[in-house]
Amino acid sequence: MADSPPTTDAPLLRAQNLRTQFGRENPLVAVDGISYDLRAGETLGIVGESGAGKSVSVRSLVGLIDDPGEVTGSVRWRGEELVDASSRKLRAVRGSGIGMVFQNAEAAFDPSLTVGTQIVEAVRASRDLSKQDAHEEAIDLLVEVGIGDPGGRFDDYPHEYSGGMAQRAIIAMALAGEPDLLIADEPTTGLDVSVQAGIVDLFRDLVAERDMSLLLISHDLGVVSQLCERIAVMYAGRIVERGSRKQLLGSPRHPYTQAFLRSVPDVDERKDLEPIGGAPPSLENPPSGCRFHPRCPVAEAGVCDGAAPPTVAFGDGHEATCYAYTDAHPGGDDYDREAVESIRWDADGTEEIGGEEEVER
Amino acid sequence: MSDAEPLLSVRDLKRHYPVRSGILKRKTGAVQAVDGVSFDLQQGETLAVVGESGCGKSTLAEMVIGLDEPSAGEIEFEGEVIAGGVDKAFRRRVQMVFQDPFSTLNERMTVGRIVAEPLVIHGEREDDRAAYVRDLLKTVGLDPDRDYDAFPHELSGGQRQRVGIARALALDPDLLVLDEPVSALDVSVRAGILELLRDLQAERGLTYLLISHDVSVVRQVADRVAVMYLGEFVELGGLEAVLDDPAHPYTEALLSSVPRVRAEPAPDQRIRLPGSPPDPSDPPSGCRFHPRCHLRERLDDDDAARCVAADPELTEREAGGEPRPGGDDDRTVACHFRPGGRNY
Repeated sequence: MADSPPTTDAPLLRAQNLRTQFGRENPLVAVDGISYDLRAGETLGIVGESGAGKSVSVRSLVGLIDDPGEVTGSVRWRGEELVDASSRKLRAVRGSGIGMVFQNAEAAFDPSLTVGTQIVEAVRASRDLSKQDAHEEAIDLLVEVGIGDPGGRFDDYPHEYSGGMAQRAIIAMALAGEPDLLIADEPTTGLDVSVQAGIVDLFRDLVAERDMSLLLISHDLGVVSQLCERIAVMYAGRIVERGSRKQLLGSPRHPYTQAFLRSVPDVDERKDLEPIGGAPPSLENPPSGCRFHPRCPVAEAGVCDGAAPPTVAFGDGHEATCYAYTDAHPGGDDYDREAVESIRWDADGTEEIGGEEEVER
Repeated sequence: MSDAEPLLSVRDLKRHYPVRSGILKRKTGAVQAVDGVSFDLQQGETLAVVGESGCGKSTLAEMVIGLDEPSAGEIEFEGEVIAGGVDKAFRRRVQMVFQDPFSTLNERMTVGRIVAEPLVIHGEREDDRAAYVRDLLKTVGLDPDRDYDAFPHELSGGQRQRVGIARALALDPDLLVLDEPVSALDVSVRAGILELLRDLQAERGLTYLLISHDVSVVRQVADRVAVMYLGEFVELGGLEAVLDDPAHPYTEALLSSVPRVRAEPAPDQRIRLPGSPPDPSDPPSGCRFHPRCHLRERLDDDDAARCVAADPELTEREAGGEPRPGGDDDRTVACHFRPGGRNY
């Protein structure tokens, strides 16, 4: 599962068996035991459809789950435990170590204060700067995120910003505490593509220039594939597959990942679209065993609906949580080669990766 | 396309909203939401109007369906001029599928009643209404036994959009205006709705006017594409011609901005549009795209001045122009320099 790092290369963030539930009597388990590591400078994308638990999972990392939500498991930020940490400590981490970018500007800004004032406040909250220096720093941040005429826009109110500009201002705010990790939750959703392209460029530049890590949540595989070296796929509260961008998009292993990729319409080519049959499961009463089994084309009764499926490693960090690659599945070893191959992403134009040994990073 | 009479014909359609200011609310200007759009729609084809927010595509759809009244121009349906879209016979033959299946269904009505509503309004099928509605539910991939008496909140997003489509089909229309029909849906669900729309068109000979900001959706269902920018069509032509070989610089930039799913980093060929779309109450002179146009940098001074001075009309390729690899098509482009014109 998680790599065991040498002590000199401890992960920046380590989530272990993170679980978030709402309600006690008939709990809705939005996130059901997910684990991952994020090292300095790494970019990880979490993809999945609505209800997969992507947003709840990142909010759970930094203490942004309100009652009656309950987070268990472990989240270590630079080795320090964040689950059950005091709200003051969590605020401090969010103010400096971890910057957060959410989808809507309304949530990020107070509509009654100018954008500049709010960025200055965010700068001063985390760094010991004079008002004058904080003002200069705020202007620098607006320049860095690509806001033209930052001096003039400084005194504008949030509603005076266009969608793309507001998103840039939110990013400036997230950078105020000089974070080492930026968590971005659907940061381009709802923006026009030409604006979105600019925001994607900005994230790429920021990650490179500031040597930041990026944890990106998106339903848009295109955006994720442009920004993230590693990708994890969530389904019904669990991570079902993870790997490098090349592994995950070039030779996906989990039947859900394969089906998800097949359903994405291609802008460059008309193809037969293959919807995934059925609907995502209820999290209040999820299916037994593998949660994808009621919709899975290769599900095997008596196997996939039994105990939770095992995680199978394909080398170089590529893992899928699926019975199809184990002896428990009647197809056994052959299954891997034949049945699954036949439903595999046929990778038009994408390089086919052969045996596990050949998987490259 | 054939020489047959178009099902729908739109001529120089405009929608200007007055801008009023001062205490006397004097008219001080106009937002040119749609500013002179013309097209024909043949029976059984799908025309997609693609563009970004504020380009006027939704206003255009509302005028076609009769929810908004044009400031100028004409809409003809089977050769008859539609006056304000209020004609009852016309309204039943043109139906709309809305973007958001979460807010456009009456939460207090059962699915059966929602789909039957247009029949009730028009006093149709009083004898076999329930059976007819059940058939419609089947047609759109719902299960009448399970869904007929269900309420919208009991359905998934995809199922709700199917209800919206069934309702639009109830009066057996000829033309469906599809306004961002899959934008609110997850991709795996989106694919099913797009397949359904393709099947319905094949079975029923429906004509679609598809409004979308999403080029990948347009690619899957359209026969022809119109690209809209700031109230005007900048390019109009066959799907492959426009999407595989865009001629207008805006089309080019729009297509290049779509994030592709790539297993390996690919060379970045995106054209970055500077600035934001301009204010439609004060559009730029000449070609409305000129302040953001990447082609203009390559023009000599005289040519560049032309973009500022004269508004280009949608025109076919100029004779003598460099033939483009897209081959011959019925494409028209509103650019002084593309296609043909000169070698830029």
